[in-house]
Amino acid sequence: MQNQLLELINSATQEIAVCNDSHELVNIKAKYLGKKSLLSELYTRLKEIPAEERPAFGQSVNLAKRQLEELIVAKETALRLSSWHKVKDDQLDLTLPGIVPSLGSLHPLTKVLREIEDVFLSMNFEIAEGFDIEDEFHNFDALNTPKDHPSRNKADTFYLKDGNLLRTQTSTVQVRIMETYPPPIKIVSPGRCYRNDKSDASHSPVFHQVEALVVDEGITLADLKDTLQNFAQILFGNKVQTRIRPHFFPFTEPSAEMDISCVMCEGAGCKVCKMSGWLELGGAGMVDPNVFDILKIDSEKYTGFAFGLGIDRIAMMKYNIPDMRILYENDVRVLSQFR
Amino acid sequence: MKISLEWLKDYIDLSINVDNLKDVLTFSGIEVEDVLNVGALQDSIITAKILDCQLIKDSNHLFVCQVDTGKEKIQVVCGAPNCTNDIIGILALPGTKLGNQIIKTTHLRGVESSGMLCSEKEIGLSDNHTGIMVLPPDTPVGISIKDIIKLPDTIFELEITPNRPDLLGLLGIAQDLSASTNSKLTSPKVDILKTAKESELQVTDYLSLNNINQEMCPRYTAKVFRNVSVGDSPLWLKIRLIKAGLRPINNIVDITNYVMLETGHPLHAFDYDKLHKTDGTPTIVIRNAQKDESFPALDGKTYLLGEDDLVISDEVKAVAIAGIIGGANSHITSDTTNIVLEAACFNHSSVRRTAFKHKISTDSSYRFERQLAPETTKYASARAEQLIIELAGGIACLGTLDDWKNKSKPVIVPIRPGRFKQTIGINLSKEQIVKYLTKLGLIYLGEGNINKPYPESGETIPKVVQGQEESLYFDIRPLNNTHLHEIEPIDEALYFEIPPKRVDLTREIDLIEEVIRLHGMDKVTQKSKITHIMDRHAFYLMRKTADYLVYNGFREVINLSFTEPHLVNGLGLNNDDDRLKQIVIVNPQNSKLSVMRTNLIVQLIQTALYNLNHGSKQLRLFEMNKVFYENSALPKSEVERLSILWLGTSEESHWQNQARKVDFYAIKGIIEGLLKLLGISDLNYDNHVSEYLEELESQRIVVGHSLLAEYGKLKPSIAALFGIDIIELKHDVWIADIAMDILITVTRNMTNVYHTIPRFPSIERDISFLIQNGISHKAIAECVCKTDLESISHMSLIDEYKGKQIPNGFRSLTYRIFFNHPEKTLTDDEVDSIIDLIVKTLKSLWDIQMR
Repeated sequence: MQNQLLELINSATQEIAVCNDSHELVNIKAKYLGKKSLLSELYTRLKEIPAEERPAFGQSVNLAKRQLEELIVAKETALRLSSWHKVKDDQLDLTLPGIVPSLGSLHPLTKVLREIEDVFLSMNFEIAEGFDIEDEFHNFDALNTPKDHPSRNKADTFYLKDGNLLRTQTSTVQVRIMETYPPPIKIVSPGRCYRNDKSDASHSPVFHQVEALVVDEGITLADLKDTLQNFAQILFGNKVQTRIRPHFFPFTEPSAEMDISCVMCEGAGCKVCKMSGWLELGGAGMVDPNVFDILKIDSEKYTGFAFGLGIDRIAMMKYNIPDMRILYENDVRVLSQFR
Repeated sequence: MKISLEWLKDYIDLSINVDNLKDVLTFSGIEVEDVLNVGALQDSIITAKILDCQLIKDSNHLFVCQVDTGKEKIQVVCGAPNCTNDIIGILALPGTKLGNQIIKTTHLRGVESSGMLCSEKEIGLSDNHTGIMVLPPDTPVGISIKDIIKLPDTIFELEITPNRPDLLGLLGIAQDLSASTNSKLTSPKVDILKTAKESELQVTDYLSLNNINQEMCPRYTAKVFRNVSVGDSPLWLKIRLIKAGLRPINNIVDITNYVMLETGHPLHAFDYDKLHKTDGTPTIVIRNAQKDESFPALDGKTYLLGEDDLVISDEVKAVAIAGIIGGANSHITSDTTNIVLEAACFNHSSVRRTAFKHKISTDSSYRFERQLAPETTKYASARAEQLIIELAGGIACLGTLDDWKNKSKPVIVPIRPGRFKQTIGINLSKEQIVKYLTKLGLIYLGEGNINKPYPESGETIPKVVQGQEESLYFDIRPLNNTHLHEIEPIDEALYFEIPPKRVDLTREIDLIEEVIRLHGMDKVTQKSKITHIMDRHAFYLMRKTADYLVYNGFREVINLSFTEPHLVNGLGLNNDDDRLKQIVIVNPQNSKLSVMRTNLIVQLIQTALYNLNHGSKQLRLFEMNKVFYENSALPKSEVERLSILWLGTSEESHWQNQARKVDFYAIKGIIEGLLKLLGISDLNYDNHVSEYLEELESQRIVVGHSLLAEYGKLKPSIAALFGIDIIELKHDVWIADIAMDILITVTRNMTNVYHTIPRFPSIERDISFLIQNGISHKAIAECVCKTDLESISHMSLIDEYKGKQIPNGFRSLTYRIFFNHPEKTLTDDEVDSIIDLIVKTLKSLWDIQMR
């Protein structure tokens, strides 16, 4: 009877293997596994076997049954799928391009601006918005600019008919925030600025700045240097060095200009940095106590720092753009280079 | 772990109410998982004696009982299986309110019943409802039950963190509370040795000890008691166990459990006479089990032990799996007269391993797994001895067998107030720190250089105890000069000796944690505050909008804010249009940069022209920026705007098929997609668009009274005016203009919350209508959805067809309607009848035919 079982398994396996039609498979299933099948006949004949061999043989019949069932299920699935997945005669040319959805791009200025905003957001700064159209108080007076200071000239600043002006720097936002919110203050303010400069490779009458202002008890020049160095390293990479040099701005004291080591030559000296190894990034300083006094903030209790950066210039440095006018030409052949 | 407030108050003078106590526990790091108020019981619940108990005729479980209430005899029907003659139970008289039920005189199977005999569950004491609660036979009959079982009470269910084994008993909780609430401890006085002295029986005459595995059993102590009477525990003890979630068994077992609940240290008692005696005295052997040693445990199961399991045995057989469960071969029964009381300390890892391996979890293993100190055995054992003598009589043999070889040195830990401030951020004085820690049972040794010798005091140094409560620990590790000499003195440090059961305190940082835990983490104040200057909503909405456009193929452009004054006239705007109110610059660089831009569209068209001239024929451009115009109604003359220009094909053309040209539906889709992304719905559309757009192929969206967006085809004449020749280009120019300030406002307080998804399957039906021109999709869609608001979940247009088979002046619209009822699976018949209704309605309204 053992031989009979083996024979049965062999022939069933053979038949299933060559079967190519689902109806035929149904017949095979009935023949081997159905109620009146060869296998069930073996079950009924179990009692012919000696009692001590019966359990072992019973087990091998069960095993055979399970194996055949699995083979049939596998064949059923294969037959079903083959009708769906007919291999075509002509092969796919896998080298043809895929169907790519349309992709646009952000303007390089926006890309840089977002990076800068994100760096400051990660350092717990808040972003404050300001106005492009300002008055003399917010653009000059509150920033401690003397009445006869040359920057107030029409040769430098655009004026409107009603006496208002287009802000020449984002420092106006400092004033608006300090007017409204008591310290502690920790903001950056990006925005457009306007100066009566002729368009050339490094100037535009409309340009973009970002201003940072921190006011609290115990804020020092060391905090300014910290923030500057961290900001520069996140934006330009770990190797970048920063330095500040004494300078003059009416609204900061001490005032300084900020430089970063040249991003092209890493400080070795090249054409971009005019062989100096350094690039100018913007102006900075400790908020002048006069500014606090004008805005009625206790200048004995609070100290603060501020700095302003030119976004256009940073974008040019970062993307190696030689001429500022390219930024405002909006040639899609240029725009499409930024991802 | 369940603790009863009434019981806890045995150990501490607590003057705070239950709510406050819950907060104190929680904020000192002992999480309260549940508070169960066991209410006061009415006076009409009394003790009563069952005099006679008979099965009711025709019932196999209801008894009729004659009950003595002290005043009278009444008849009560009771279904409890343990109901029998001559027991004292708890009777709720008619009129008593129990939970939501009011007890009344009723008839059950025709038998009158004037009250109810209660289970523990029915009086709110525990979850046990297997039978009526039986009181001890000496309980007076006819008295109110509430005094006997000390109700009302509050049961706290506590979650003890694994680092705090010292909190696994009421004394530990009391100690911690005494520190966090500055309350006085009133620990039980343990007065021992009284009977032993009289007995003159030496424990060594009765029992020997052989600890083979010191590592897995650091300490083993045993006492022997003779002639105890095993029986029921007194009611107060039973009640306390029940409140803690344990079942009373007999007085000896109950005492070991009671002491475990009190001290946190599990004990085990077994029958002395069941121990094997070779030559008169039995020996307790602490050993590893043999491979496949079979052990019949108290829980009725037989465990097959292995060589890494530790057992307590006599010279022949195991009588307990160490620290986990006792044996059925030696447990205390009513016949037991002589007992061995075990108080031991087992290695926590070993207990955990064995308990895990055999899937046994007992109150004992739960505690040992968390690492108990060998020192605490002595108090637990003494406390149990006191209770055994008191409650079970008998004689305690003199002395204790105590195997404890590797004693630990005292643990001395410093804490610097400066370091506390550095870590926590607030200042606490030395005095405050000392107070909190000594209240916890730590012993203050002094400040700074404490390792100076104490010449006159000899071996053991008197401890500097300041304001120290009477210690709960009998076994403080002896401190001597050698220990102090090992300390490297730190000037500012306060030195504390740690009580043995605080195994979790070994470093300064541990003490810092204890102090702030008791002082209250809420006392640590916020250092810096966010000022909310930033408009985060506007900021991220603008980013999201720009990103959406970029991922749909649009390129951002940035133009100057200056423009040429006459250009805006080219848009042909109405005279009162804000966009004609340009702000003039007094001192411009030149006439081309002499006014502020009032819109972004002109410059977008100029940018398009520039790029067309430079050979780019597919243009998808947008600018999001400020525009400026004079408007006295606005607080400022500058607002954020978004404009889009689209020219060419509506999708990227590729080799598989020709891309469609941009059309009205493409530009509309871009705007609708944006609004969908931002979650804006319920919009009003009309076609009162600006003059530069083709009226018949343009649309605008109004929200309230504000114009949110307009979009459509740029008039070819205006394109031509700006230099774009539509005919030559073979493409129209499509424009969209969106008021970002309005978009920001309407989305500002929008929420995005979860809605339950339908539980029942959705059914789809496609249906086509022949529709006369002039009837809009919107009108039809609204009409269809209104037909059955409950069953129609939504519908979508899947085809518009004009052509063969469709008569002139008509079109065919095909809709897919989704049916989904919130409370049932719709049948085909139900859906058919809704469709019939839709068809009838459309026919009657507009004479629309189904195709």
